Formats: sequence, structure tokens, C-alpha cells
Amino acid sequence: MKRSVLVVFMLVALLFSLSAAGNKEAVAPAAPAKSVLGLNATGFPIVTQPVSLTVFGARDQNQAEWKNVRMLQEYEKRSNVQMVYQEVPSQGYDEKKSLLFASNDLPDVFVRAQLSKVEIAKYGMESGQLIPLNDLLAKYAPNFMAIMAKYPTIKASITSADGNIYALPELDLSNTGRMGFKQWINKEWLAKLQLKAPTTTDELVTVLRAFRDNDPNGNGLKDEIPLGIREASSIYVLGGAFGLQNQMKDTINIVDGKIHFWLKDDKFKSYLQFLNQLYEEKLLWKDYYKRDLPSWRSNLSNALFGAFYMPYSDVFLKVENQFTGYTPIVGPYGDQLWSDANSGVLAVGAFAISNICKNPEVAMRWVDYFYSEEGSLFFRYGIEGETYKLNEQGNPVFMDSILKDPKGFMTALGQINLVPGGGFPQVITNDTDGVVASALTKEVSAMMVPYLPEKVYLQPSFTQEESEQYVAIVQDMYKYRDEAVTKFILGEWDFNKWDEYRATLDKIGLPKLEKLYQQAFDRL
Amino acid sequence: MSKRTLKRIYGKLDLFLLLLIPLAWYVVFKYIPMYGLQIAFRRFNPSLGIAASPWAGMRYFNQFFDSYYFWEIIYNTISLSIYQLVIGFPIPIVLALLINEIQSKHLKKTIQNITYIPHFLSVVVVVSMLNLFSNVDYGIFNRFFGLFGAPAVDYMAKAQYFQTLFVSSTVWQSMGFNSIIYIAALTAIDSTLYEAATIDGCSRFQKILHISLPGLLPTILILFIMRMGSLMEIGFEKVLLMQNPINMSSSEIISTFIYKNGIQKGQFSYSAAVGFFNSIINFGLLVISNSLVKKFTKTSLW
Amino acid sequence: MARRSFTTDDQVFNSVVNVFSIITILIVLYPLVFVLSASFSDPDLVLKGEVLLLPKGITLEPYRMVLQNEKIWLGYRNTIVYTLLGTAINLVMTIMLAYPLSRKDMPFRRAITLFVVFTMYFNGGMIPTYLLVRDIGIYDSIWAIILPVAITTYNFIIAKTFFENSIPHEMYESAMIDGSSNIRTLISIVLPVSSSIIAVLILFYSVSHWNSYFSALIYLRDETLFPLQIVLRDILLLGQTEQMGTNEVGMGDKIKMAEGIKYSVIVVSSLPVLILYPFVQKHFVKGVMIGAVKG
Repeated sequence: MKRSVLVVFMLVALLFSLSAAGNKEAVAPAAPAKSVLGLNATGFPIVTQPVSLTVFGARDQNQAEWKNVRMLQEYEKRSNVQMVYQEVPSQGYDEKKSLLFASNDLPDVFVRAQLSKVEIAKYGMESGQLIPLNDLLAKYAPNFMAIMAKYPTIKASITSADGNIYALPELDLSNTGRMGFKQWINKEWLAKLQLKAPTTTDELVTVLRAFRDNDPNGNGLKDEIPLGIREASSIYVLGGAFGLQNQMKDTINIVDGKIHFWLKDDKFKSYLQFLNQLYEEKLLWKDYYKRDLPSWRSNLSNALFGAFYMPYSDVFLKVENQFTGYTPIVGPYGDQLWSDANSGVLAVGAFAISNICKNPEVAMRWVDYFYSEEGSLFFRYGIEGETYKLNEQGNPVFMDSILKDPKGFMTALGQINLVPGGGFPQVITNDTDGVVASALTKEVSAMMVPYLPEKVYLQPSFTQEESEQYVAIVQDMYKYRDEAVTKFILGEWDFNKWDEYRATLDKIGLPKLEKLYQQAFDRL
Repeated sequence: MSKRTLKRIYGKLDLFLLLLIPLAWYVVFKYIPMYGLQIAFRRFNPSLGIAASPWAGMRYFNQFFDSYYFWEIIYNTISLSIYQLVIGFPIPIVLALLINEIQSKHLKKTIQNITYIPHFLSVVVVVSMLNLFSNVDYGIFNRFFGLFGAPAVDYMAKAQYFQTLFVSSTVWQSMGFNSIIYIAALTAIDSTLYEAATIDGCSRFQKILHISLPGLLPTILILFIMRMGSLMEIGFEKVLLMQNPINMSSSEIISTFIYKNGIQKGQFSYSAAVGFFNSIINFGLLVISNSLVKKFTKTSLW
Repeated sequence: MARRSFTTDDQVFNSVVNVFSIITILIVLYPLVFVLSASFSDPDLVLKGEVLLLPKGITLEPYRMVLQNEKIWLGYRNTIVYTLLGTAINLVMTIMLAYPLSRKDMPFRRAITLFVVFTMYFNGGMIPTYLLVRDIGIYDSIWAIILPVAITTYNFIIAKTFFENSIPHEMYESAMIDGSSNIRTLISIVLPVSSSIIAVLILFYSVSHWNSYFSALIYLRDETLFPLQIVLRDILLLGQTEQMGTNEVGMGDKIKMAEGIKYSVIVVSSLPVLILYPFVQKHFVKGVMIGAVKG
């Protein structure tokens, strides 16, 4: 027995030494060779000799295989850049992205990369698998540079702590894009019950109760859902009425350059109590926390929600005319604010170039086009006369064959471009947001724009060390926050647990997190 | 090496040849990855490779120990394992004893064949059945418990029901199949023992207690030790599929935690450290249970 | 007198045993029957909770939709390939390992066995294994699904125990005297009497191939290689039923159809394994019995 154990361990030891010896010493990434012949500094084609690049990214379930997407095929013809697409389905993309970096088996470029700030810090600043784009931007990206010059906050929010830019964002500079959710209410129900759109939180409750009790859709069933909130993470949408902003896309207010997480504030407590009241009175959609998208969509398209929050009306277009927008309501402390504001950056890591890419200049020119007005129109609408036409007002409109496709508009759109699912490196403007934003959506947005916070900030960039500390705190904190918030709203936790909840947040490291943010924010 | 050993080896050369490919497989697919475990102690940088990444010492272990959720995850893992062990381990034994006592050959065959069936369903299928059955409006769980006046509950969306659902569905799926071994051991018991007991006037129940159970004991112990060694490794795939944001407070276990942080969020070193910790506990449990069992009986795994 | 009461006790005991057996059968069987019935029923009635045991408003519409789904067919095809090829490799590899190590006259038998069994309790974890799969160049191919699971150590133990217990050592001695090589002995003497353990291995391995989804999730990128279980997961658990060609019906109907489809997807995907089972069942009970009981 003893001897056999010894033999095994010797074998294991031998093996370890063997595999250690066999492990190739890491090869320092060779500097990309400047070998592009016939690169044109401006205009099309980008290169006179065809150049091919491998592409990795996430494919939305409504998108066709990228090599078959009409717009990308056309762009390949114009640019002479041949993309070898290695995209993977969105479902399971996170796993594949991580493992791709772990094994250092990189593509030339990432498109629809869904890189987070933490990942950009790790794979850009630390491991160097993503190259800094600053010089390339200056030389080959006039369109993107023009946007950065016009919007300095965008530049600040995509620059890493070491001063480099490792990834390009998806930008939305349109009016509809200045906020995420817009608020909608069923005007037919209001008219039938002879009510006006609510202006305060109290009036909102009154209206919702009336929706609940009076069968406004007149079908004799109590199937109305007074208030629709799509998922647990959207629960903060009404926070503006309680003075709770959503800066840096988090539970943050910024006053005089001071970052403040309001998770422990009394105002947040009374906001949760308000939501808890709505839930207990069966005014709030009872399944909001289950991520049950199919039933959400079904309720939406059957117009069962009285009031709800959605970014665009594209998913309830058929019943759109029953709804209208209204200005943000005033809360118990007199706040009137729409908190779900965007800074213009929709996705921070939409595009990146890896350190094995031999022709980064080509890649940069390839992507820069999508940050121009013309490129935005091309990306979002395709080819005039084939996929869209201009109407009398000179606005682009899709051909009927796409709008009325029997397989559904989104699927048809996924055949011609990568708009479904978002996240593509591009700019969206007032002229090109109409792909998803109807006239009514634009009207509702305009109604709400005056109530947005004056300045909207994006998450600051952390150093590698800060980034690791950040991750260690937020992975616990978000989990705890989400659980606690859900339990308070559902009434599973009584509000006498509030002090315990605050203490736990401190224990997990909320004060330290606030400091990390402040530190990074002050560097800007 | 002595001449005799050499001769013994020579006589079995063809057998060694047979072993060559499978052993090479073990080296490649099982032992070489162990080399990669060291990233738990390094700050893994993919572009430098494993061996050249800087050392980080116990940093990632400490990060795990310091995590607010450390105790919750450990508690969830252990309590689910023990629950699974306490319920899941004896039931196949009881089922085997039950089947052994059935007089009608027909019934005996029927119950065996039927209880095996669920074993062949995939976890994906079983979990989706749980989802369908837990539905508040039309799930059969709610219809059944509704008969007793219980209010309709979405069992999959409640943390407190997660463990019971997990364990009972696993038992449902595997009890028949796991009982096969015990049934086999029961048939191997010398039938003269039962005859002698009958003459002594023992009741059937006494015979189970004094003959069948002791006859099963060696099998029970071996399976028990093997089970202990993988105590912390509870059906990872199934837990992952059953998880949703609402039951997370009782469904997050070590292996799902590793998967999410390591593979989904790319914290390779951190998750390797957590995995290492898990393996050590497993191994420790194996050694402890083996030596305990060895102390009280003479059975041992090695 | 004493004898009579003894018989009565016996009868009581028998009825208790029978009652418990029938309860067990019902508990195991009911969910299965329910799924089967629901799959043939009008989804509307299923959702209203009117289907309890037998199908109501019988319809084949859900099956029609399932069978029209290309992804399911492709997944089916892939899974069949993985299962057939994978099981064949499993079988050969396991026997190659188990047979030599079952011979009591094999030198270093204990040490090698320990070397193998050790991996059951200690392994490199997901990421190192993934790096290996990439390094040896089988990532995103059928081999990434098959090779990393070419042997299951637990099954090796069963096979080894079977050979140890059912083939007497004298058999090897007489074969040796006849001048037959060890490999010849395996093929001409051992394998022919091992049909039950072969059945067990086939069953164990093929069921695990049929039901596996996790390695595909990590090792496959190309959707056309995805096995059935991944497709199932998308449809059954991630609610991706929108892809099921149900766009033309209204949204409300769509939800109902999506739920109705789930039951038939379950039936369609599980049927092949359930059909396989009775064929190997006879051998396999015997095989497990001899293989699993030590000593």
C-alpha cells in the first residue's frame, strides 16, 4: 500500500516537471507589422488590395449569420476589407469571451464585443491583449475624433486610467437616446375613467387604483395590470421623484463633484416603502422580478398595462395609439426629475483591436465610418432604394417588404443589419434613431427631456488595482442589494430590517466603494 | 529491479501496450490540467502564460474568505450536500428492501422497470419539468397541494423551497437506479440464513433487520465513503439550471460560484483559488470518512 | 393456532409491501404520464389546469411545430453522432484500461489503479482543462465533446470489478499454457463472456452523452455543432420559443403555444433513450450487479 502511494506521487511529480518543462515560455507579442499596401487615408475603398480580418462578437438572436447580413456584405464590397466572422450567439457569449482571452487565442478585432470597464482594464491595461487606440484614432478616425471634440464627457468616460483608449463605444446622440426608459400611460383608460395623467406620486396611486378596480378595458375581466416594470434592475426608474439619480448608471447622486451612493438614504427607504405599497396593493406587476420576458411582451402587446416604462414603442407598435407620455411626477419631497438619463455612451466596449492584428489602421478606418452621419444612415437603414426610401419630409423609411415581413420586423431587420440587440460600434443621431423610435416615441422623449439631470456622468475608469478592489466589493454588494431591494418591495422583509440592511452594506464595503469612485472621479 | 520483476513485466508487455493509450489519456486530460491549478496563487495574465504570471500568494484565497457571501456559500453547499445525503442515500436502500420483499413476480418487475425510467431523462428536461410543475396558475404541484388548501406558490421562485425541490427531484430521478446495487447485494445473501430465521420464528420485519440489513452493510459502507468524497460536488449542472435571481440566497453553491466568476466574468485566478479550496475539502472529507469507517468496520476504499 | 397467526402476519406484511410498492410506482409514474398527456393536449386546456391524467382536446399541433424546427433536427443529428462515436471510443478505452488492471498477475496494478482513481477526487478545474482543449487544437470540433470524456473513472471501476469477479484466474493460466497471448485471451475468451458489462458500459456512456450539455456550452462556438441538450435548454429554460416559427399568431396565442410546445419537446428529446433502455435492460441489471458489488 505505502509503496504504491509513493509510486503514484513520483509519477505525479514527474508529470509536473514534464509539463512545466513543456510549457512554452510566453512569447512577447510582436509589434504589429506595418505592412498594409494601398491603404487610402480617406474615402473608399479603404484598401486597394483586399485585406482580411478575423472578427469575434456576440450575435443577437434576431440577427442572421453575420456573413449573410446585407449591410456587411455591401460594406465589404465598398471597403475591400474582408471580414472573417467568428461570432457566437449572445446566449453563452460571456463564457466564450472570457475563455478566449484566457487562452490568448485572439481575433484581429472585436465587434459587438460587450466589454465591461473591468474587462477593458484587465485586457487592455494589464495583459495588453487589446491595443491602445489613441494614435490610430488621431490618424485614421476623423469622424470619431470630431465627436470626441464636440462631447468632452464622452472622451473622459472611455479613457482608461492610464490615459489610453482601448475600446470604442456605441454612441446615441439623439434626443430619444438621452434617456433609457420613457414613461407611458394608457390614454384610453384615462379618458374612460375621466382621469388626468398623474402629476404627483399620490395621484399616481389614485390613478393606478382606478385602473385596478374599474375594468377600464371593459372586457369584464380583472386582467388589467396597473403598473408595469419590466425587471428587477429597472425598479429604480421612478427614483427621480424621490431625488434619487442614476448617475454612472448606478445608485449614485453627484453633488458638487462629490459621489454619493444613496442606497442607505432615508429617501431611498421611502421610495422602497412606496414601491412596497404599490406591490401590496397589487398595483405593481406581480411578476416583475422573475425576468419573464415572454409574459411581459404578451401583456404589453395586449395593452394590459395601464402605466409602464419602455425605451421605445417598437415592441407594442400595434397598440401604440392607445398610449401617451406624460411629464415626470413630483415626489413627496418635491423632487421632479427623470433619473434614467444617458450620457451618450450606450455600450462602452463595443469595438476593440487585439495585439495580433497586423492591420490595425485598416480596422480603425473600417469602424470609423460608422461614427459619421452617412455611415450611421448606412449602418442603420442600409441601401437607398433597396432597403429604405426617403419620405416626403426627407426622412428614411424602410421598404414595406421589411416593415411587413411575415417573420416579424426585427427578424427582417436582422437580415440586413446588426441593429437588433444594439451594441454595435456606431453613432445614433436624430436622423437615424427612427429605426426603433417611432414619431410618438420622439414626441414622448421631447416631453421628458427638460427633466433630465443637468449633467450625466459615466462610470470613471479604474486603475488595475482599483479595478480588482472594485470587483471584489461589487460582486457581493450588487448581489446583496438586489436581494434586499426585492425582499423589501415584496414585503418579505419588514422595514424594521432597514438598519441591519444599512449595516450590511457598510460591512460589504460601500464606504470603500464610494472612496474608490471618488478617487477615480477626481482624476478626470 | 529484481530479475523476477523484470520477467513478470516482460510476460505482460502486451498488457502494458493496451494500457498505454488510456494512461496517456489520463496524463493529458487529467494530470496536465492540474499543473494549471497554480494560477490560484498567481495573478494570471493570459498574454504571459501560466508560468510567467506574477505570484500573488494567498491573495485570492483571502478574497474568498473575506467575501460577505463566504459563509452563505459554504453553508448552502454543505447543507444541500447533507440534505441530499440524508434523504438521497437511504431511500434506495429502503426501496431495495421493499422490492426484495415483494412476493408477486409481476409487481416486482413492474416497480423495478418503472423506477429506472427517470434516470434516463436529462437534467435539462428534469429542471424544465420542475419549472412547469411549479407554475402558480397551472402547475401540478400547486394543484396537488391546493387540494389540502395550501395557497398557490411559485416553488422555483422561493429560496426556502429550493433545496427540497432539488433533493426530491434528484431522489425521484435516481432512487430506482441506485437501488440496483443493493438489490444485487440482497440476492447474494445466503438463503439458508432466512430459512434458519423462519424456523426460529422470526417475523419478516425481524428478518430484514437482522439478516438483510447486515448483509447489505459492506455495500452501504463502500458507497457511503465514495459519496463522502464527492460531498461538496453536488449536481453542478442541475443547480445552475435551477438557479434564478430569487432563489439565489439558497441556491448559490461553490461550483456555481466558480463558474460565474471564473468563466462568465473572467476572474480566472480567483475562481481557481475557490476551486482549489473546494478540492481540498473534498479530499479531506474522503480521508476522514474512510478512516472513520475503517475504525469501526474493516471496510476501506483502499 | 400459532401457525395461523403467523400466516396472517405474513399476509398483513405482504399487503403493506404491496401498498407501498404501488404508491412508489404512482409517484414515479405520474409526472411522466402527465408530461406525455400534456404534450398531446390543447395547450389552452393545459394552461387552465384541466389536464390531470389523460390528454384533453387532443392535438398534434405542438408536435408539428417541434418537428418543423430545424435546430432541433440539427441538434438531434449532432447528438446521435456524438453518442455513437463517443460511446464506441469510451467502450474501447475503458476495456483497454480495465482488463489489464483486473489481472491479479499484472505488475504495478495497485499503483496504476491509484494513479487513475486519484483523478476522481482531484482535478485541474474548468479553466486549465479548457486551456488544454484549446492547446491541443480540438476546440470547437466534435473531438472537444468526445475526447475530454473518453473515460469515466467510475465506469472503469465497475468494469474492472466485473472482470475481477467473473473471470477466474485459472482461465488466464490455462490460456497461457495454450500459448495464447494476453490480448488474444481478451478477445477470444474474456469479451465473449462479458456481454453484460459491455451492455452496462454502453448504457452508462450513451446516456451521459445523450444528456450532456455543459461541455458543448464551453467548447463549442459553431452553432451547427450544438447538441440537442443545448437546443433544449434554449427552448425549455431560456424561453427562446420566439424562434419556433410562431410569429404569425398573435402574442397571447404565442405564449400558450410556447408552453404547449415545451411538453412535446420533452417527449421528443427523451424518447430515444427510453426506447433504447428495454433492449439493454436484461444485460445491464446483471452487469451492474456483478460489477458494482465489491468482493
